[in-house]
Amino acid sequence: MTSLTPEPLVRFEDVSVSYWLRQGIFKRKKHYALRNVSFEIYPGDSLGVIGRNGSGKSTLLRLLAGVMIPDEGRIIKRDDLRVSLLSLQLGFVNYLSGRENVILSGTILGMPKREIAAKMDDIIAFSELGEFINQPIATYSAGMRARLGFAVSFQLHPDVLLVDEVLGVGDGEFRIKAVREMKDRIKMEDSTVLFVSHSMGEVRELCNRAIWIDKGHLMQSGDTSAVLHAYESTMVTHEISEFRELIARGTPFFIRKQGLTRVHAIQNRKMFPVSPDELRSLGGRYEDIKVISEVVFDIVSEECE
Amino acid sequence: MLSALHIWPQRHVIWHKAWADFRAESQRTYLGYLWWIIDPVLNTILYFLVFGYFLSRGDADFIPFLVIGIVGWFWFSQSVDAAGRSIWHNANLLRQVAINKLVFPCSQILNGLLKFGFSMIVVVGALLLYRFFPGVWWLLLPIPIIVELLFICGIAFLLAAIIPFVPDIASFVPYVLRFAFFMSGIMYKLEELPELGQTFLYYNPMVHILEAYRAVLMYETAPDWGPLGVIAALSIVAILIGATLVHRFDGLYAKRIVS
Repeated sequence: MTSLTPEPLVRFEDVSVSYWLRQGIFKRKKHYALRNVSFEIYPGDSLGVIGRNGSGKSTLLRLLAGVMIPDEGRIIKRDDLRVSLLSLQLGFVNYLSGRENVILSGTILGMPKREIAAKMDDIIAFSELGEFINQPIATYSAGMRARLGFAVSFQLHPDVLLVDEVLGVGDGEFRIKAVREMKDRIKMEDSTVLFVSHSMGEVRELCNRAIWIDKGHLMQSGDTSAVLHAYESTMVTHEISEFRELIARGTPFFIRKQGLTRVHAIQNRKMFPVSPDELRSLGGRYEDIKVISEVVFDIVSEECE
Repeated sequence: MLSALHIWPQRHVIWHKAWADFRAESQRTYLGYLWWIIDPVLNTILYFLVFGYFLSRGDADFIPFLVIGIVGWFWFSQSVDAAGRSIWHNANLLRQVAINKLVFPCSQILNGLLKFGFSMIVVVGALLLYRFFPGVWWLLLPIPIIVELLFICGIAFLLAAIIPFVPDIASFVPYVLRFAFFMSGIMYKLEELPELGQTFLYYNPMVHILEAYRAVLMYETAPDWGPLGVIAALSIVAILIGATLVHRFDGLYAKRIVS
């Protein structure tokens, strides 16, 4: 029987990456940054990668970009498949002009000379630098550098683009343009993108499939809404158990429902609204206020008397 | 083993990186490219004052003798130091792009070769000033240049391959180089040394390389082919080992280098 699903562009088969952690002179411990991770990327996919900090998302990106090799398992892809990270200001040298940096960055990314020359005008136009393109980038503002960096890597079309939380670079209007262009690229049918994000909203909006990794393990993969649902409910459970501990401890802490300004204090299993003055008199600081979702807020208020 | 040396497809990156660093270094200062000429001149003045004047060393042709030694030596030492650190220093870059890591030492070596080209103006100037005019022997100048280039590549590839794993070596290299600087017959002639010293220095490749420059440019003789051949052969072995190591460790650099 023939399968109707297309051939995957990249296939991870039981991939593990491990580090030896030193624990004294002779003792060391094996730590897995990724453990037995298997998944596929299909042509046209917009694959979202979610997980907490330190869960192995960056390691996953580096494996895909080919800068790291797995310690166990294997990654199957065509030899000539171009997979690259959207890296900003890659290899930029301060004393060279914007134009020279475009050529340098492009060659480092493996673009043929002809392709760089052909895309030069687009890159300059996209970066909105105008005449400044011939000035050394040492004279640029941070915003101008960011614009050029984004323009260069954005104009390159690898077969699989890896994006690591770079939505929104530059300043003001360029920021909005960068986000819009980026989102359009991720959503495009014929481009394959793997997108790491902390924002559940963005993953929901942009990705058709998602994978969730936690402590190096692949927790779930598949349809975006199913993966996000599983991820969010686990995160809520985590959050609730943290709050239960805080409530049981009895010392005051402060919460605010997402999107609202009203602050509540919780002390000795009692929850009550506080004014800014009362907040200060209880020894609380504005930065200490925990912002929580409606679901968690309701559960926390039920825990109190 | 030879596949490790397959860097021809990377020639554009190597050239652009070398040229970019060279331009950037020159743009940093007012005198720019002139510094690659001023640097050997100032070094020559310094060592002439100490050895030629205060210690009354050297004969009438001490200046061209010294300039050849200094230009030849600093090409070697600066290239080895910079290229040896290059993979380690580019940690940020190699964590983002899958790139042949040999690109880094190669572009540093090319960068050093460009600077050496400028410094050769000082060598030619000093030779003409002391009435050593171009002759047929000058046609052999590429021989010591090629042998020294091979020697630089050999040492630099080996260092570049292992320094990312043992960064301490990078701190150690400058001391070895400074020691070797005084052991390479740069500001004294080999014959002036006691016999034991001569035997010791005979095993320093830079002694033979610098003498080969002097042979073709000053003494109007052929270089000493034997030692040059041995140095070239050993350098090629080192290049192959170094390139193989870089190739073998390719996927480990991004994992191991902590910056």
